[in-house]
Amino acid sequence: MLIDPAVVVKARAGDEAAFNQIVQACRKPILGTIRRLIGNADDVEDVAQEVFVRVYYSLEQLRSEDGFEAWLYRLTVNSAYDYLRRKKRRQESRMSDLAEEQVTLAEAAAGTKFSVDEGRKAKAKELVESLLSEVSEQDRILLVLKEVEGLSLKELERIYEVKENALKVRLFRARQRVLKAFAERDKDKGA
Amino acid sequence: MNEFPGELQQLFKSYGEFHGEVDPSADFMPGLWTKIEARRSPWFAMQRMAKLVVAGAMAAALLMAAVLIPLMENNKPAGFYADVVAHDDRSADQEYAATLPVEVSLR
Repeated sequence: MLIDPAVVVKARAGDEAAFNQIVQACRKPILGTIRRLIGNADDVEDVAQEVFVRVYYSLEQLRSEDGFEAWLYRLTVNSAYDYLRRKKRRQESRMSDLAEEQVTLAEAAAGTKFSVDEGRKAKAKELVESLLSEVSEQDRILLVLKEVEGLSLKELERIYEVKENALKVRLFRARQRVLKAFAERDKDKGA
Repeated sequence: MNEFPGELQQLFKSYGEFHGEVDPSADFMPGLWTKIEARRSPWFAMQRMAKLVVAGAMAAALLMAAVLIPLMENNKPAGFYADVVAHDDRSADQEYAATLPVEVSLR
Protein backbone atom coordinates (compact mmCIF):
# COMPACT_ATOMS: atom_id res chain seq x y z
CA MET A 1 0.00 0.00 0.00
CA LEU A 2 2.31 2.73 -1.23
CA ILE A 3 0.77 6.16 -1.61
CA ASP A 4 2.64 8.95 -3.30
CA PRO A 5 2.90 11.80 -0.75
CA ALA A 6 2.10 14.25 -3.57
CA VAL A 7 -1.30 12.57 -4.01
CA VAL A 8 -1.97 12.93 -0.27
CA VAL A 9 -1.08 16.64 -0.48
CA LYS A 10 -3.50 17.09 -3.41
CA ALA A 11 -6.29 15.21 -1.61
CA ARG A 12 -5.72 17.32 1.49
CA ALA A 13 -6.16 20.42 -0.65
CA GLY A 14 -9.60 19.14 -1.67
CA ASP A 15 -8.77 17.36 -4.94
CA GLU A 16 -11.44 14.66 -5.19
CA ALA A 17 -9.65 12.79 -7.97
CA ALA A 18 -6.62 12.44 -5.67
CA PHE A 19 -8.88 11.23 -2.87
CA ASN A 20 -10.40 8.64 -5.22
CA GLN A 21 -6.88 7.55 -6.15
CA ILE A 22 -6.07 6.99 -2.47
CA VAL A 23 -9.25 4.97 -1.94
CA GLN A 24 -8.60 2.83 -5.03
CA ALA A 25 -5.06 2.09 -3.86
CA CYS A 26 -5.88 1.37 -0.22
CA ARG A 27 -9.35 -0.16 -0.17
CA LYS A 28 -8.32 -3.77 -0.79
CA PRO A 29 -5.73 -4.02 2.01
CA ILE A 30 -8.01 -2.03 4.32
CA LEU A 31 -10.95 -4.34 3.58
CA GLY A 32 -8.73 -7.35 4.38
CA THR A 33 -7.51 -5.83 7.63
CA ILE A 34 -11.05 -4.93 8.70
CA ARG A 35 -12.28 -8.42 7.88
CA ARG A 36 -9.62 -9.89 10.17
CA LEU A 37 -10.21 -7.28 12.87
CA ILE A 38 -13.98 -7.65 13.09
CA GLY A 39 -14.27 -11.27 11.93
CA ASN A 40 -17.58 -10.62 10.20
CA ALA A 41 -17.78 -10.55 6.40
CA ASP A 42 -21.19 -8.87 6.19
CA ASP A 43 -20.18 -5.52 7.63
CA VAL A 44 -16.66 -5.19 6.19
CA GLU A 45 -17.60 -2.75 3.41
CA ASP A 46 -19.64 -0.61 5.77
CA VAL A 47 -16.73 -0.25 8.19
CA ALA A 48 -14.27 0.38 5.34
CA GLN A 49 -16.51 3.12 3.95
CA GLU A 50 -16.64 4.66 7.42
CA VAL A 51 -12.82 4.65 7.46
CA PHE A 52 -12.64 6.51 4.13
CA VAL A 53 -15.35 8.98 5.18
CA ARG A 54 -13.17 9.76 8.20
CA VAL A 55 -10.15 10.07 5.91
CA TYR A 56 -12.07 12.52 3.71
CA TYR A 57 -13.19 14.73 6.57
CA SER A 58 -10.03 14.67 8.67
CA LEU A 59 -7.30 14.64 6.05
CA GLU A 60 -6.46 18.22 6.94
CA GLN A 61 -5.53 17.06 10.45
CA LEU A 62 -2.79 14.81 9.07
CA ARG A 63 0.48 16.34 10.25
CA SER A 64 2.81 14.87 7.63
CA GLU A 65 2.13 13.09 4.33
CA ASP A 66 4.84 10.56 5.22
CA GLY A 67 2.80 9.38 8.18
CA PHE A 68 -0.26 8.70 6.01
CA GLU A 69 -0.14 4.91 6.22
CA ALA A 70 0.11 4.76 10.02
CA TRP A 71 -2.64 7.39 10.24
CA LEU A 72 -4.87 5.37 7.91
CA TYR A 73 -4.26 2.30 10.06
CA ARG A 74 -5.20 4.33 13.15
CA LEU A 75 -8.50 5.38 11.55
CA THR A 76 -9.08 1.74 10.55
CA VAL A 77 -8.41 0.53 14.08
CA ASN A 78 -10.72 3.21 15.52
CA SER A 79 -13.55 2.36 13.12
CA ALA A 80 -13.18 -1.38 13.80
CA TYR A 81 -13.17 -0.67 17.53
CA ASP A 82 -16.33 1.45 17.26
CA TYR A 83 -17.99 -1.30 15.25
CA LEU A 84 -17.05 -4.00 17.78
CA ARG A 85 -18.36 -1.89 20.64
CA ARG A 86 -21.64 -1.19 18.84
CA LYS A 87 -21.96 -4.88 18.02
CA LYS A 88 -21.37 -5.83 21.63
CA ARG A 89 -23.95 -3.31 22.79
CA ARG A 90 -26.56 -4.69 20.47
CA GLN A 91 -25.64 -8.22 21.47
CA GLU A 92 -25.61 -9.24 17.85
CA SER A 93 -22.27 -10.91 18.17
CA ARG A 94 -23.50 -14.43 18.79
CA MET A 95 -26.18 -14.29 16.13
CA SER A 96 -23.99 -13.06 13.30
CA ASP A 97 -21.19 -15.44 14.24
CA LEU A 98 -23.65 -18.27 14.28
CA ALA A 99 -24.94 -17.28 10.86
CA GLU A 100 -21.41 -17.28 9.47
CA GLU A 101 -20.58 -20.56 11.15
CA GLN A 102 -23.69 -22.10 9.65
CA VAL A 103 -22.61 -20.99 6.19
CA THR A 104 -19.15 -22.44 6.78
CA LEU A 105 -20.57 -25.73 8.00
CA ALA A 106 -23.05 -25.92 5.15
CA GLU A 107 -20.26 -25.37 2.65
CA ALA A 108 -18.12 -27.97 4.41
CA ALA A 109 -21.00 -30.42 4.31
CA ALA A 110 -21.55 -29.81 0.62
CA GLY A 111 -17.94 -30.86 0.17
CA THR A 112 -17.66 -29.20 -3.18
CA LYS A 113 -15.94 -25.96 -2.24
CA PHE A 114 -14.01 -27.14 0.78
CA SER A 115 -10.73 -28.98 0.60
CA VAL A 116 -9.19 -30.56 3.72
CA ASP A 117 -6.93 -27.51 4.08
CA GLU A 118 -9.87 -25.12 3.91
CA GLY A 119 -11.68 -27.19 6.51
CA ARG A 120 -8.67 -26.90 8.81
CA LYS A 121 -8.58 -23.12 8.30
CA ALA A 122 -12.30 -22.88 8.99
CA LYS A 123 -11.78 -24.77 12.26
CA ALA A 124 -8.86 -22.51 13.17
CA LYS A 125 -11.03 -19.50 12.38
CA GLU A 126 -13.76 -20.76 14.67
CA LEU A 127 -11.31 -21.45 17.49
CA VAL A 128 -9.50 -18.11 17.16
CA GLU A 129 -12.85 -16.30 17.08
CA SER A 130 -13.90 -18.00 20.31
CA LEU A 131 -10.54 -17.14 21.94
CA LEU A 132 -10.75 -13.53 20.80
CA SER A 133 -14.27 -13.27 22.17
CA GLU A 134 -12.76 -13.87 25.62
CA VAL A 135 -10.71 -10.66 25.51
CA SER A 136 -11.68 -6.99 25.26
CA GLU A 137 -12.13 -5.23 21.92
CA GLN A 138 -8.84 -3.37 22.45
CA ASP A 139 -6.94 -6.59 23.10
CA ARG A 140 -8.60 -8.27 20.14
CA ILE A 141 -7.52 -5.49 17.78
CA LEU A 142 -3.98 -5.38 19.15
CA LEU A 143 -3.57 -9.16 18.89
CA VAL A 144 -4.94 -9.31 15.34
CA LEU A 145 -2.63 -6.51 14.22
CA LYS A 146 0.38 -8.24 15.78
CA GLU A 147 -0.32 -11.94 15.31
CA VAL A 148 -2.39 -11.98 12.13
CA GLU A 149 -1.43 -8.84 10.23
CA GLY A 150 2.18 -9.37 11.35
CA LEU A 151 2.85 -5.72 12.19
CA SER A 152 6.09 -4.99 14.02
CA LEU A 153 6.25 -3.21 17.38
CA LYS A 154 7.66 -0.17 15.59
CA GLU A 155 4.65 -0.07 13.25
CA LEU A 156 2.25 -0.52 16.17
CA GLU A 157 4.04 2.27 18.00
CA ARG A 158 3.32 4.63 15.09
CA ILE A 159 -0.32 3.57 14.90
CA TYR A 160 -1.09 3.74 18.61
CA GLU A 161 1.28 6.65 19.31
CA VAL A 162 2.47 5.01 22.52
CA LYS A 163 5.90 3.86 23.66
CA GLU A 164 7.14 0.39 22.74
CA ASN A 165 7.33 -0.68 26.39
CA ALA A 166 3.67 0.19 27.00
CA LEU A 167 2.74 -1.83 23.91
CA LYS A 168 4.81 -4.78 25.12
CA VAL A 169 2.95 -4.74 28.44
CA ARG A 170 -0.45 -4.59 26.71
CA LEU A 171 0.52 -7.38 24.35
CA PHE A 172 1.81 -9.49 27.21
CA ARG A 173 -1.47 -9.13 29.11
CA ALA A 174 -3.57 -9.80 26.00
CA ARG A 175 -1.58 -12.95 25.21
CA GLN A 176 -1.93 -14.10 28.82
CA ARG A 177 -5.73 -13.76 28.60
CA VAL A 178 -5.86 -15.71 25.34
CA LEU A 179 -3.57 -18.39 26.75
CA LYS A 180 -5.79 -18.69 29.82
CA ALA A 181 -8.89 -19.05 27.62
CA PHE A 182 -7.04 -21.62 25.49
CA ALA A 183 -5.99 -23.62 28.56
CA GLU A 184 -9.53 -23.55 29.98
CA ARG A 185 -10.90 -24.71 26.67
CA ASP A 186 -8.46 -27.64 26.68
CA LYS A 187 -9.47 -28.41 30.27
CA ASP A 188 -13.15 -28.43 29.30
CA LYS A 189 -12.40 -30.71 26.35
CA GLY A 190 -10.46 -33.08 28.62
CA ALA A 191 -13.22 -33.21 31.25
CA MET B 1 6.10 -13.61 27.02
CA ASN B 2 7.11 -12.05 23.72
CA GLU B 3 5.16 -14.43 21.55
CA PHE B 4 2.56 -17.18 21.59
CA PRO B 5 3.56 -20.84 21.78
CA GLY B 6 3.86 -22.53 18.35
CA GLU B 7 0.37 -24.01 18.34
CA LEU B 8 -1.36 -20.67 18.90
CA GLN B 9 0.94 -18.90 16.43
CA GLN B 10 -0.14 -21.43 13.80
CA LEU B 11 -3.79 -20.95 14.72
CA PHE B 12 -3.60 -17.19 14.28
CA LYS B 13 -1.75 -17.64 10.99
CA SER B 14 -4.51 -19.96 9.73
CA TYR B 15 -7.11 -17.43 10.91
CA GLY B 16 -5.46 -14.81 8.69
CA GLU B 17 -5.31 -17.22 5.75
CA PHE B 18 -8.98 -18.12 6.18
CA HIS B 19 -10.07 -14.52 5.80
CA GLY B 20 -7.61 -13.86 2.98
CA GLU B 21 -8.20 -10.97 0.60
CA VAL B 22 -11.49 -9.15 0.25
CA ASP B 23 -12.53 -7.69 -3.08
CA PRO B 24 -14.62 -4.53 -2.93
CA SER B 25 -18.06 -4.75 -4.49
CA ALA B 26 -19.13 -2.58 -7.42
CA ASP B 27 -21.14 -0.46 -4.97
CA PHE B 28 -18.16 0.43 -2.83
CA MET B 29 -17.25 3.78 -4.41
CA PRO B 30 -20.83 5.00 -5.03
CA GLY B 31 -21.74 3.98 -1.46
CA LEU B 32 -18.72 5.82 -0.09
CA TRP B 33 -19.59 9.03 -1.93
CA THR B 34 -23.20 8.77 -0.79
CA LYS B 35 -21.98 8.65 2.82
CA ILE B 36 -19.60 11.56 2.26
CA GLU B 37 -22.37 13.67 0.73
CA ALA B 38 -24.80 12.69 3.51
CA ARG B 39 -22.40 14.09 6.10
CA ARG B 40 -22.14 17.30 4.14
CA SER B 41 -25.89 17.89 4.37
CA PRO B 42 -27.31 20.68 6.61
CA TRP B 43 -29.14 18.08 8.71
CA PHE B 44 -25.89 16.31 9.60
CA ALA B 45 -24.21 19.65 10.28
CA MET B 46 -27.09 20.54 12.60
CA GLN B 47 -26.79 17.22 14.39
CA ARG B 48 -23.07 17.79 14.88
CA MET B 49 -23.67 21.30 16.13
CA ALA B 50 -26.36 20.06 18.53
CA LYS B 51 -23.95 17.45 19.87
CA LEU B 52 -21.31 20.15 20.38
CA VAL B 53 -23.81 22.41 22.18
CA VAL B 54 -24.89 19.57 24.47
CA ALA B 55 -21.28 18.65 25.22
CA GLY B 56 -20.49 22.32 25.93
CA ALA B 57 -23.50 22.70 28.21
CA MET B 58 -22.52 19.57 30.12
CA ALA B 59 -18.95 20.78 30.51
CA ALA B 60 -20.21 24.18 31.75
CA ALA B 61 -22.58 22.51 34.21
CA LEU B 62 -19.78 20.32 35.55
CA LEU B 63 -17.47 23.31 35.86
CA MET B 64 -20.11 25.35 37.68
CA ALA B 65 -20.84 22.42 39.99
CA ALA B 66 -17.14 22.02 40.74
CA VAL B 67 -16.78 25.73 41.59
CA LEU B 68 -20.12 26.51 43.24
CA ILE B 69 -20.72 23.41 45.37
CA PRO B 70 -17.62 23.91 47.57
CA LEU B 71 -18.52 27.64 47.93
CA MET B 72 -22.08 26.82 48.97
CA GLU B 73 -20.87 24.16 51.37
CA ASN B 74 -18.69 26.74 53.15
CA ASN B 75 -21.46 29.34 53.52
CA LYS B 76 -24.33 27.01 54.31
CA PRO B 77 -25.68 27.35 57.89
CA ALA B 78 -26.63 23.93 59.13
CA GLY B 79 -29.78 23.10 61.10
CA PHE B 80 -33.35 24.41 61.53
CA TYR B 81 -34.84 27.84 60.93
CA ALA B 82 -34.06 29.02 64.48
CA ASP B 83 -30.42 28.00 64.07
CA VAL B 84 -30.24 29.87 60.78
CA VAL B 85 -31.69 33.05 62.36
CA ALA B 86 -29.35 32.74 65.33
CA HIS B 87 -26.42 32.28 62.96
CA ASP B 88 -27.47 35.39 61.02
CA ASP B 89 -27.92 37.45 64.23
CA ARG B 90 -24.55 36.41 65.53
CA SER B 91 -22.82 37.41 62.37
CA ALA B 92 -24.71 40.74 62.34
CA ASP B 93 -23.69 41.39 66.00
CA GLN B 94 -20.11 40.60 65.19
CA GLU B 95 -20.14 42.95 62.21
CA TYR B 96 -21.70 45.72 64.38
CA ALA B 97 -19.22 45.19 67.20
CA ALA B 98 -16.33 45.37 64.82
CA THR B 99 -17.38 48.88 63.77
CA LEU B 100 -17.50 50.25 67.41
CA PRO B 101 -14.49 51.74 69.24
CA VAL B 102 -12.99 49.27 71.73
CA GLU B 103 -14.01 51.15 74.96
CA VAL B 104 -17.62 51.50 73.82
CA SER B 105 -17.92 47.88 72.94
CA LEU B 106 -16.49 46.91 76.37
CA ARG B 107 -19.20 48.81 78.18
